[in-house]
Amino acid sequence: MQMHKTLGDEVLLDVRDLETHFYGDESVTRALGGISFQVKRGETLGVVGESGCGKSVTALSILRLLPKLTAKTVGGEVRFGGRDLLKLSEREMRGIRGNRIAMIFQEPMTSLNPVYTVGHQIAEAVQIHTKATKSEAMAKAQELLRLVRIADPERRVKNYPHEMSGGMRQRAMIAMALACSPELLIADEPTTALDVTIQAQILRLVVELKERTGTAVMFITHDLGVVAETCQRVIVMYAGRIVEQASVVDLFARPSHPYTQGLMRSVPDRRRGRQRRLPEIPGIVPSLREPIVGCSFAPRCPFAIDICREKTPILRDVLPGHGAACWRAEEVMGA
Amino acid sequence: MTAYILRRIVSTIAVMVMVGIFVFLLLRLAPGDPAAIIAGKSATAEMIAGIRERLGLNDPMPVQFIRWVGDMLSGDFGTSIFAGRPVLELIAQRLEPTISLSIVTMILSVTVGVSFGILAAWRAGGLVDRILTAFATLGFSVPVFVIGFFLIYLFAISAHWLPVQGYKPIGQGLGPWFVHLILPTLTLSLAYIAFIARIARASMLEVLSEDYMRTAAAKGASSYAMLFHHALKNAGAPILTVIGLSFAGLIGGVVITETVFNIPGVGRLVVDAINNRDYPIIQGVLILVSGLYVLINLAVDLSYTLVDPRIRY
Repeated sequence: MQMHKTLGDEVLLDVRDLETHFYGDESVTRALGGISFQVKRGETLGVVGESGCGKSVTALSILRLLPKLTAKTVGGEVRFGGRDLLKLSEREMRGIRGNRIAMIFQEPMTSLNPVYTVGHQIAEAVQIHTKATKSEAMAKAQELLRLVRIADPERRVKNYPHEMSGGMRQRAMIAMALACSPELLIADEPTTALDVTIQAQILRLVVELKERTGTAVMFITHDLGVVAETCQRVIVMYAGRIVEQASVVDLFARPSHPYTQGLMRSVPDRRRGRQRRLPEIPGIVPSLREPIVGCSFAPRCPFAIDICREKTPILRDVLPGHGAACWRAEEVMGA
Repeated sequence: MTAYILRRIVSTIAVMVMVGIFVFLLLRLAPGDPAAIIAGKSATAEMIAGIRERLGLNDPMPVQFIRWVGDMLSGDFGTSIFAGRPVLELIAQRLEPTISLSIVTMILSVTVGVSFGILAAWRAGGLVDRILTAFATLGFSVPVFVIGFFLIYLFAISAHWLPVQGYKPIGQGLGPWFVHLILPTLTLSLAYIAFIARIARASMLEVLSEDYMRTAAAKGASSYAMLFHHALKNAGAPILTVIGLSFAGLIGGVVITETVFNIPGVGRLVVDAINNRDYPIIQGVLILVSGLYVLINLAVDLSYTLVDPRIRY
């Protein structure tokens, strides 16, 4: 395992037709309508979309951390290290979580346990997955805090979360996630809740640590700017499905789904000068409680024609390695 | 922390003065002349006047109050009218059964109540949760004496497994002591188990939906570690509060339980004192119980700092 990991094409995570439902009192919400994507070893994959499009549900489905009573992954496969994670026992799954796949969350203020020291919580991650003694794990925790650039780690390991700022807590969360050198790090909007200046620092930290450790990163965000800065490939999600999938360069050069284009237009851009108002995508995200006929974006889409309202478009390659789920992708791309 | 404790002790003194005034007035304002009660029905006017003089009942009220407080501070809680012996000595004689009953009840209530609460929260909405909730409602709504007589009937009269009534001092052997305590303890515990279980369940449920519980799961923590390591300590403060309240409120239940099971404890002493209008005993027990109550509250407030590092005094 000490061999240098190459950034080759080896597939690390292979998600196939993943389908997750949420159960309300009288309704079923199809939060994920069968999505397929891959994460290659060492790459950074961006997952973009509006709130409620299924980004976080995808992450929680992979790690099987969905609330047991209200949500269930009803179909598909999550192939990781040659095995389908959905078929593992709970015990085997615990051996994966925090060890081979780690996750950091959106809310650093509430994601750490308030009654234990930060060092204790990082050391716990080490102790769960290795045979390290308490003092070895605490030493490792201190080393990890230094790795995530927390000044004075000797003192900080003994701090409680409420004694740290939001940015520092998110660094501590990252330290915890990296404790067992995971092959995949899922970052669920890790900078959304932070101040803008801190956001940039955390982003740089993630990118830098990724370079150093060779871990693959699944970066969930609603911010295309973050994607442009950090990712190699992107999937764009809308209403529980993937609507476009491409390398970052291709996506920004030739967005081929009307939704992606809409997202890009609604990002503020200094080069376009002062704008009175950012263009927004008209209409609202469809309810996922009823089955959707045709393309889920059709009601909001300026390109929509009859077929869009009748048949659901599948994700297909419009260019090599660039997929879009749109009947008119070729025309959209040129528009 | 030290400043806080000092402040609390000062306020404790204020509370105890209020309690003292109340307990003092209880005797002075109760219908009937205390001297006449002490002298008994067949006493002459001279005898009563003599007693009034001896007890200082002719002095102004504030003077009487200060003298009474001064006596208590020097360890003199007065003399029982009925038994003619010092109140403190009578209470001390009855302390062992009451302390045994209280402590065993609290140990049982806390361990069983907290475990039930955790279990119910962990499997919220499931079968175990519903059974425990039904049990808790039952335990909470059936009066202590009904439970007591029911258990006596079931385990003592019908099954002959346990003694019907009575108490054996711990000095006569751990076995007999324990056997005699089983039914009273069970009787008294049921309501507290129910109370503690409900609060423990509610505060655990709240904690289990917190973000940091998901973080713990994402680390690969086991269910056991999640429940007992991550959740329980966060749910600790409300649970400690109800444990403190239960313990402080135990005295009411102890009085009834001691009566039902004929246990010669402080509860029985009070009941007998009330029947005999033995005011010095009633006063003494009230003062001591109030002091205990205030101390338990202080201990609970201080214990919060043990479970939650964010609380600092």
